Amino acid sequence: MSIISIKNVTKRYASHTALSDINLDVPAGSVFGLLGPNGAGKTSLIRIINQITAPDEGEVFFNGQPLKEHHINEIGYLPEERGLYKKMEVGEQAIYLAQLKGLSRSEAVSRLKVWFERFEIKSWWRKKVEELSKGMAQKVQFIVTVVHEPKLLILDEPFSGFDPINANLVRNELLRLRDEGTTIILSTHRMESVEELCSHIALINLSKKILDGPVKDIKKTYRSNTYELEYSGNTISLANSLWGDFELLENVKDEEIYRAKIKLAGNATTNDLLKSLIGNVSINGFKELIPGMNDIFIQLVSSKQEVVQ
Amino acid sequence: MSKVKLIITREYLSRVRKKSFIIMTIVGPLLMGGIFASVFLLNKADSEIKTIAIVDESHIFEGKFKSNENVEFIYSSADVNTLRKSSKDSSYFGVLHIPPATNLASLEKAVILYSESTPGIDLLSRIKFTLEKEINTSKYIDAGIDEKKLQQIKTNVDIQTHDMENNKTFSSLYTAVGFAGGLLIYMFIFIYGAMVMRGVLEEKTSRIVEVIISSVKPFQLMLGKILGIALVGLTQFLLWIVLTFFVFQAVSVSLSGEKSQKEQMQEMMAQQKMSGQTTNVEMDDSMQSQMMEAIDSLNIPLLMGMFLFYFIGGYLLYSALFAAIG
Repeated sequence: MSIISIKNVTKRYASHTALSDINLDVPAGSVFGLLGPNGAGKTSLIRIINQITAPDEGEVFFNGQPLKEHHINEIGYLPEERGLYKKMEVGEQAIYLAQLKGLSRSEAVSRLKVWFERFEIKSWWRKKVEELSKGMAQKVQFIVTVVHEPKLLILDEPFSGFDPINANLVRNELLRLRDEGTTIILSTHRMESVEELCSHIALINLSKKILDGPVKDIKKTYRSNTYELEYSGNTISLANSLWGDFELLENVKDEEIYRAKIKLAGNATTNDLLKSLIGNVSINGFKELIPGMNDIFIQLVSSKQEVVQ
Repeated sequence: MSKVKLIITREYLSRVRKKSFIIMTIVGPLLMGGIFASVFLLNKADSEIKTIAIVDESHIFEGKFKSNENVEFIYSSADVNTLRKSSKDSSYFGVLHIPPATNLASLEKAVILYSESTPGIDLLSRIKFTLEKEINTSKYIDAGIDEKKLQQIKTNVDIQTHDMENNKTFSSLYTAVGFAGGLLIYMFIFIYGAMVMRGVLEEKTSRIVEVIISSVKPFQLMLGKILGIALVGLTQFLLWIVLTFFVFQAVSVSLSGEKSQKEQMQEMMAQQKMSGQTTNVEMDDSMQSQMMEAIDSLNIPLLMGMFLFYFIGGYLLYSALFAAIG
């Protein structure tokens, strides 16, 4: 079941096309990474889901229904360009923003008190926003994004501006929300966050979707059958054992241990490789080199740019 | 609609609670009261009797200049230059020199008033009025015209305006009321329209606008902001009116001692009677009753309705433009 379905969405600004015929499904309960280089069209897509702008062509569905105004209360949005009213008190402002998302005042106060305690910021309630540091304001912004318990949470670069401790706090909260059933769309350039949090991703480049699906499947698709071997012995013995379907890509000495990168070709399996290695070298470690999201991102985006050039 | 109400409440409360709002609301009437008091005090300071020595070498104006509670005219036969030099010792405010008249035309430009400090317009116009009146009389005599007959011939047409139901109307008062109302609307539009613009700018620079418009429609945000600020303006105007009323009361009571307004009026009328000014009490009475009649003739509900219509319409139009600029 998809919480968000985007069908043939196109968005143009004057002569510039921000999104071109995008089709996308965000599975309910997933952490969905929306990736792409700067200017790819991610923010345009997020603004369409938030009904800040409307698509020129195509449709968006929320839980199977065409996206309507009342769905706003079921979405929490933390934009990249975010801020608060500087002269307002933190508590009063948080209540106001929660009320705009459909909560009653008393409900907003009780929920906010829980969140303020959880984030250990109860003492800030009566402070003015201008007295807070950037990181402190970010915490308040995160709370007002999630306080109305939205079904869908859209976060644009949520970790920017946080120190490692607070970034960790937010990450843990996101994982907790995911476990409670909230779907999260995460737009970020930090690939380690994607690896750590996302179950699904979509990659947008030059206004087009170029890749989407579960992270595991994508990684499988982009695996290169390359393995790292840690061994002791001599390099000639290693070379002798690698014949036919095995290709030695790299072999470096790290103190007393050698590290080699070996690629399997043809129908050869890891067992075949291990069989030929045993007896020639002493194996200390062996693992598959799985491409990271960073590698896949760079590979896809740069190859696309080369095609355009 | 409830979201618009929320926005209106926030826009209203955040501004009304500001120190600048409270200070401006208090300072505004005090400033008005201050201006009123300073005008009163300046008048009072100016009310000491000024003595003007008249050297009338033409002998046309002998006994024509009448003293009153502000100015005392003394005829002198001394030399002008001597009087000027001794003005400090003799405590004259000024010396009015009327040279000998070879012909009346030459006299029109030849009168000189020497004074310690620059004379006020009141004093000058008083002297000018007497001079012109007497020169005119002399000219009538020279031309063989009977002044009394001339006065009888003089016509003063006064058109009375009535509406079709035969109720009296007062064009000049209506123009004045219209002008004052227009001025108020103009002030309101610019002060509070600019406030809308600053509000929009604040939301853009603090970058909260993206968060807000993901919760409400931009139109709702603009409507809430404009209406909220309009309420701020109305509150401030209302407070100004109330406070100004109290400040004026306080100032007038403190400046005129324990006398009530009625007593003051009576006193003023008595003074005018004593001084034998051209404006007499009967005329004042008729003017007052005319004023009252004029004010009564105003269609207050229609006036208020139209005022509010243009006030709100103009404000909505211009504040929307200001919001677009912001």
